[in-house]
Amino acid sequence: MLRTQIAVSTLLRWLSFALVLLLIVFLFVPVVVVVMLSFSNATVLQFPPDQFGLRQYVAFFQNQYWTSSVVKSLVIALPTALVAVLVGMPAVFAFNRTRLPFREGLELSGLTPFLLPGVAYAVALYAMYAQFHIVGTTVGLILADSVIALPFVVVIVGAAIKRVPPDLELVAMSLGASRARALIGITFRLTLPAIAAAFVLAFLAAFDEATFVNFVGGPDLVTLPKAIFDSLRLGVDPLITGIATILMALTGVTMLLAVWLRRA
Amino acid sequence: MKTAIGLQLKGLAKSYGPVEAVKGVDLSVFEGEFLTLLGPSGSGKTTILRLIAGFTLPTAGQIMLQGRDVSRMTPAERGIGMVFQHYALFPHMTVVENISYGLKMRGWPAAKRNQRAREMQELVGLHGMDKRLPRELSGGQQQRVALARALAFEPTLLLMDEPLGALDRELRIRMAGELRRIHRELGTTVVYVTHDREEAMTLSDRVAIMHLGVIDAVGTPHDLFSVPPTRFVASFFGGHNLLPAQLTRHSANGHVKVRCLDQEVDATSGSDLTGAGNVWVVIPAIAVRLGHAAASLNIEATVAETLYIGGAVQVTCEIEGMGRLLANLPVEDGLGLEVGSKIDLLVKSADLVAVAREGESGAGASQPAPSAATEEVDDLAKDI
Repeated sequence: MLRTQIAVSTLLRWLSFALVLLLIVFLFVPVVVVVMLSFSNATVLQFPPDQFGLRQYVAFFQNQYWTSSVVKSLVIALPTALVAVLVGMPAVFAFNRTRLPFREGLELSGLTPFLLPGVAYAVALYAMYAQFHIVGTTVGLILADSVIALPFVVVIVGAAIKRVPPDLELVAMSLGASRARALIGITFRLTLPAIAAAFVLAFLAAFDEATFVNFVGGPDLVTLPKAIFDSLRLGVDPLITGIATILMALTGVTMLLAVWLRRA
Repeated sequence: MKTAIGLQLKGLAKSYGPVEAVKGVDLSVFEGEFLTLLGPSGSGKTTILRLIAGFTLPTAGQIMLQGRDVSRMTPAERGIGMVFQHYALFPHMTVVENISYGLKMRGWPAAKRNQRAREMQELVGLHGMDKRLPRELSGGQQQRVALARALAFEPTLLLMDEPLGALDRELRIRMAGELRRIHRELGTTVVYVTHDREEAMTLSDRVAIMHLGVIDAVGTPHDLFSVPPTRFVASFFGGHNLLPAQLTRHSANGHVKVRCLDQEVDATSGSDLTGAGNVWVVIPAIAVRLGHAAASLNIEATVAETLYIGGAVQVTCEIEGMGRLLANLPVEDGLGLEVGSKIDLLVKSADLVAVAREGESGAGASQPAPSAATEEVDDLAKDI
């Protein structure tokens, strides 16, 4: 009896281990394939590549269509992250450091963009933007993307500020600091790593955003994700494997940066 | 002796919506005095401390610090040092940076700050920890840093909110001794908040006992313990037994006669019992002895439980129709007692104190508890 039970549990353990392994393989194989493809010199997608080289990267950087889309994405994503932090921070402080009525509900509502059905929301946004004639403007897209970026600030900075005891601010005031100085020098200072991490993630979310730009971006506002989508219509150019590799590398580095910042 | 008044509260009151956390408190603390606000949780003691510190503003009343009215000042303007239960050290600052924070806020130059920080470390017994972060320190060490930080700018008043509450027993006793020493060396006026009566007893020059938002009584630990003026002081501070009795004669000098357990005995009273009919007789557990004698309250009881507590035996007795009575008997009397056996106990009349019974006259008459008056509600950063 006991022996069969042990045998069964051993078997289950091996099965679950195998399942996890399979999952990891499933997640990482495409990454490996894309990275390998990006270092091929072929002009069509072909696996395994028969000639390695930097053709995809060279083609990417030499083509103004692609480079200007990267610049456009940066021009959108950086201000978006900034707007998200500037709007999100006071909101987080209000949720956690005031007697604001319904603050729990408001804090939860700050997360709703995570749940938004993107396309439906984008359609509504398009209708509204058309009224105000801001379809295709940089400012319009930044505002739209800020909606997606905001929850990162609410979640990450919110979690950080909850770990800062209000007593710290009180003690600073008893030691001679003004309310503002206590708030900035202690609470703000202690949440700074989280703010930086939230900024990075908000930036990534906006940089990667492909839905809103298709609706409110109009024909001329071409960010990198839009450029990739548009290029697919003309057939698959393997240089997008180069873009993908660069993006994954940058994302990986910034994510690590965000993790490191939060720990600091 | 001490005469100058360091801190004075005049009719201080604080309400949170319909909840009255503090109901018109008057209190004077002398210069250099160590005064403890003692009370159960929800009695309003922490609210008073936070009102004094300026973290929340009073609904009514005044706070006078060395003669000037600070009731409406910001915490920074008041210049009061404060130590919190969980130390509230700045986690991103080293020991020295923590200690000199108040000096920095006051614009002291760096060299002077460091000099002072060293002196403070010396005072609280911290050595060679300048560059450590709070998380690298033990609880006791963190408490020393918090104390040094609160005292560094030489505040006229030091407030302490259950500063030993988070320490284990051993360390608590040691830190209490340290607090006594530091208070003796500096002579700073201290207002200390705790719910632990032993702490209050060992540390304080005087104790103010809080109950349901008012101060029930103020006095030296010895006075409050030996002649408690109210029922609440007797039970909460003294931990004494209470037996119902009737007042049969009272006089102005505190000598009264009471009828208790069908005996008429002499007793003392710590408050004016004029007009009181029903009273409580307060019986300290350590005053109970075996035997039967004149000029004493004689009690027949049944032994319900005996506990050897080192140096004495704590005997729980059952008095028929009256409830339980705790007696700390000498070891030779207590050890041999059988549970269930009948014993004769006596309390000398000199050890008996009468206090007013609930709902009657006298300062201690306490109202039914509005239970919502907790101090956990006052989250003060949110109140200014």
